[in-house]
Amino acid sequence: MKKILKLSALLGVLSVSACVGTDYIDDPIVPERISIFPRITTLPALQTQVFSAQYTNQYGIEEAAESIVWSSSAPEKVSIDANGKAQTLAPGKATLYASNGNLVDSLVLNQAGGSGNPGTSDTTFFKQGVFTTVNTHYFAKGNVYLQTVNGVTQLRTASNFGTSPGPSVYVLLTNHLNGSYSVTPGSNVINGSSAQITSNKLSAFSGVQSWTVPAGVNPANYKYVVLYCVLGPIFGAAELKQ
Amino acid sequence: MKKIVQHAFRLLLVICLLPSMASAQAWTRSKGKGFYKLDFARIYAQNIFDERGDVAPFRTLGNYTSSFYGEYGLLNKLTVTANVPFYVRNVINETKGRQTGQVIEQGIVNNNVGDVDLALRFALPVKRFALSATLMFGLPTGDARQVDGLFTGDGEFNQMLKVSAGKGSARWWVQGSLGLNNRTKGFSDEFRYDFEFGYKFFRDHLLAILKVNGIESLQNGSVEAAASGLFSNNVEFMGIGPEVLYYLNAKKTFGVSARVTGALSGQNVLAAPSTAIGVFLDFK
Repeated sequence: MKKILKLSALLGVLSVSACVGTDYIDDPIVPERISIFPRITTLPALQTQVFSAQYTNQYGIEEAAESIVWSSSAPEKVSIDANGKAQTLAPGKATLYASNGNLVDSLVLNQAGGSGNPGTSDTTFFKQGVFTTVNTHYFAKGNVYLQTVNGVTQLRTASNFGTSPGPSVYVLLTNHLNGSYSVTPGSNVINGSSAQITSNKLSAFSGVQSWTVPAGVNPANYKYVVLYCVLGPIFGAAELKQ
Repeated sequence: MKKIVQHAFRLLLVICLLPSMASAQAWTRSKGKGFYKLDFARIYAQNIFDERGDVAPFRTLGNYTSSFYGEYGLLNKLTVTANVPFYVRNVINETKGRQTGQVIEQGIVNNNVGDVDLALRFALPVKRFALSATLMFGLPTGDARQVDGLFTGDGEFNQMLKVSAGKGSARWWVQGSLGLNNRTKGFSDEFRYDFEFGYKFFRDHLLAILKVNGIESLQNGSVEAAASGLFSNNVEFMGIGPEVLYYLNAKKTFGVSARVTGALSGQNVLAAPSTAIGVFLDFK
């Protein structure tokens, strides 16, 4: 009987102590980029706005940009100093540039007339795509739209949207389709290679749905919308195009 | 394509929680006699069988189930059985970038109890061979709410009626069972079967058993059930593997066991073998 007890204890300890392992994959390679924030396009006259420029490396990791050069296409209308502080000086618009070596991002800034709301814009960004099946094991279909209106970006599916139901499916914007993404239930993980749009897993798998893209996500930086199941696979993806 | 990855987990559970067939199910225990076993099972998978039976990649998943299985003869023709997975540890590996070392996908862990099965087995009056009927109740004691869908139970109460027939001699036995598993909450009902052949070696100290078991879904579950969480409808599986039991003492009252079960085919199930080791007490 003692043998049984000893063996049981040993097997029990082995069973309880099984660890979380680590799998390694090649990091996804994404385009290096500079992104200007915030993405506002209108300022009232004689107002100032401090912009920043974020640098994202080839692995989608944000790093401090060493030397950002700021410039304006029409400094008599909108000026910008070396620290990214812009000021509207005269009616009209100007394109602001942030550059670091060969990387450049731009932003068109208008001077609002009259009682325009500071820091807002009309529709400034629009892309769309069609969900397709990424592998043969799951399905996805339907149109998806990514649109910024008045400074708020929304991701929206059409009535023809549908995908395989899953226990933990999230919607992400991403630049790669290698199948591995950072997701935190109840929150949003945002980096240069992907941005978690739905903070919670999907509970409906068809029809019209819309989600507000979290602040800090520049929609122009991402190439795909993916339906990703935390347990492993991509259910579907849509390449975003103008 | 209504059936998903989620089925893999149900299947995983099914594999792990299938009680040991060490005591053939066609026979009942004598009154007051029992068989008790502690079992430690492991599955380590990187693939699943998808809904069409094709092998599909999956995040690396480990399932470690510690369970108690017991049989006790209430009467000579009535045996009560219990399968209690008292500790189920499900683990999905984290994923790191090879170049950056950054965590890309967090690891996922769920430690909990599994679903408990309780059953009554009745000996049926047949003379030429052993025949029994088993009524089993599957209790939803496991965790069916884990945020990532890494469940340890299915969250539904099921009832299975099974008929088993067997025949044997002093050195060998053979038995088979057919069962119908009625499931609730919109899950598909199931047809289950198993077959085993056993042979005794070394003065009956070593029992070697070859087992085949499987599940066929009746495909009558609801779409809502499929979408509601992990481990949904229409899991199918056919497995085969050996089990050995070795008595450690002369009276043959206790011993150790080991088994391996591999999937010949599957649908919505992990495509990896299950291995298990255990210790048992046998009071004949």
